[in-house]
Amino acid sequence: MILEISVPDKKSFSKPSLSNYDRLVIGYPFCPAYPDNPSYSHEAAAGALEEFGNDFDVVISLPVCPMEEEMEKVAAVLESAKNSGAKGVEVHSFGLLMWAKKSAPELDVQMGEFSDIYTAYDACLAYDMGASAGIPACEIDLEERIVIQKESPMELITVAAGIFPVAFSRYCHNNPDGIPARCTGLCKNGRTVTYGPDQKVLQAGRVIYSYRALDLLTMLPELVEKGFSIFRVNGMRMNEEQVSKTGQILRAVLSRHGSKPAKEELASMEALFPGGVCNGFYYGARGLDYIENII
Amino acid sequence: MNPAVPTKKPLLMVPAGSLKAAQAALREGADIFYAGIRGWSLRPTAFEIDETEFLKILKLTKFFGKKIFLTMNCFYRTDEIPAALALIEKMKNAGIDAVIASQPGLIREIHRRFPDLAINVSVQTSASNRQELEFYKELGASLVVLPRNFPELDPDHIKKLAGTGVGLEMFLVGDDSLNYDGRCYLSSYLNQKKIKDDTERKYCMMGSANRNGFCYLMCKRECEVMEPGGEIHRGHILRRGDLALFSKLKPLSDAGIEVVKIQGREFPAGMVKLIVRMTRRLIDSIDDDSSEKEYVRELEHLVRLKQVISANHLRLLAKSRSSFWRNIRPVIEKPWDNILTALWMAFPFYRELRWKKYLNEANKIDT
Repeated sequence: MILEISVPDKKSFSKPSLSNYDRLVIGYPFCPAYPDNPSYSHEAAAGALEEFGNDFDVVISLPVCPMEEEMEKVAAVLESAKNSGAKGVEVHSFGLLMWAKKSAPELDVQMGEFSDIYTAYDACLAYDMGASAGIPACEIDLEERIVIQKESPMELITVAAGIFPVAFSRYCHNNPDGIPARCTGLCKNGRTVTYGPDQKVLQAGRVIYSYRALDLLTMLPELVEKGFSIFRVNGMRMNEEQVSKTGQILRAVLSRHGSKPAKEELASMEALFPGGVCNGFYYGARGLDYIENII
Repeated sequence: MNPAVPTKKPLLMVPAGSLKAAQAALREGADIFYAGIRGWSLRPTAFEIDETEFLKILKLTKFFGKKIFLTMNCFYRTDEIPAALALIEKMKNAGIDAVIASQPGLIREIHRRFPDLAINVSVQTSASNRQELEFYKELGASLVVLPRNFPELDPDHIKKLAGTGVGLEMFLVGDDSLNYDGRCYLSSYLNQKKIKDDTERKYCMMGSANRNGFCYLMCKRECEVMEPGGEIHRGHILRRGDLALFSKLKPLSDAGIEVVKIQGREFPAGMVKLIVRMTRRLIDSIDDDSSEKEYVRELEHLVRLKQVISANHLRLLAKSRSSFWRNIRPVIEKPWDNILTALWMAFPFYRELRWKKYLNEANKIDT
């Protein structure tokens, strides 16, 4: 059982708060303006590897949809990952998978959340091209995930906790004309956007996040039983306490090999996320199970 | 302009949302047609054609020596892929020239089974760099649509993408998508529902832009925004304009664009006809600066009409939660669009009136 966490940079979390995780996926793959971003800066990638490389398996997250002009920087990050002891890199498209495997065959490559893996055919292709693991598109349901897991040799990564990105844009939402020359950093807080009476999302720079956090604690035993073995916490907009306690609870449940989480564990997890929790829109038959007032 | 080196004219790809629209576009000089069969492409089923109508369009285009591409660009489920491949095989035997697809796994299967069938990679893949283009070339594709974002559609950027061995295609007219195509789950996050409709597919994933095209267009809706400081306002904060890159046609062609595409299978035949006519003239006079300006003005009026019609569609879409409105939508929408198009073209004062009304609604932000 592997528990991994996505971490935007080397400064966000301390080593003790990450102690329950096996693997760190480091980098903010959505924005080149994010300061000291290991996804876009080879120095930042090397720095993150120096900081965490001895204690954890470190995977460097490469940018989502980089433009051709940015590829030089991305190549430098890949080179840095290769030379500084990264376990692997995370990519968000098949083109970058092919390129990464050609440029650094010794590195493990895993497919990120925007890789558009919807079917076992996609997962088999990724595996044949050298990907060891991948996150399926977030809008597919559990039944489809089980089919993909069963019919393809690629390991699926299940995002088990944290808010998750639901859209990605070339434009910075804090600057409608595009990416600012000088980043104002407003994305660190984010705007809350509400559609209708109760439909909320969080808009942060170039990404729109789910308002409620994913919490698959109740489903973990079933997922483990179905053969899923890699779980991820999306640490992108979490604080130190959330990261630490989430890791602690998930590790405890996973170590009990399929037994159900205790009531206290469920309550503590829920209390960690002030925006509320959900089981993911893709695990239900009718969308967000808590939203009735749609459109 | 150097008359000794004329610009290579791009091919014009147009939507065949109905037989009538295809006939009109054919008369106006379209080179390639694209159409999807009910349930299998990224359009709500109300705007898709059935197999019989598709075959009629195919026959028509073949008779006049034009090309037709079958649109199969949804993100299907694993258990739907065999049926998708069977449909492609059937249409290949009927004579389609290419298939438009977006799932890498499906593209590999298409190329394995039908190696002589051309593959056009959909805008859904958001291919932004040479690595993506090289990957799709290796997978067997011959043409890739570039993302509908302005930075990606800059001629200087496109120049860097040319020469990988796959043709470059782009939308000349269409929505300027705020979020990357194929990477936006906003609508499905808020609304996805699995329903059974009358198509051959197992389910319609209502609410998902990627899986059925039944997107609730949250990016065009008014919402309430709370800024980090606590200030609250209402507005269409995610709304962006439409792509209308007519004045850039020449630099885009010089940069390496081989096919320009017009979005709009859901728009009335009369409007498609006018857009195709003007775009054809624009392409044919690509090296003539004076006439270009006149066509650009005309085309910009048509893009405004497209925006007004889209806003009307959005109002009806908002009611589509109930099955009554879902069923009645196609019946009232098309005549409504046709009347609006006729009034728009015939009466300039009506055009101005509607446009002002649209702007008032679209831009209001109460702070």
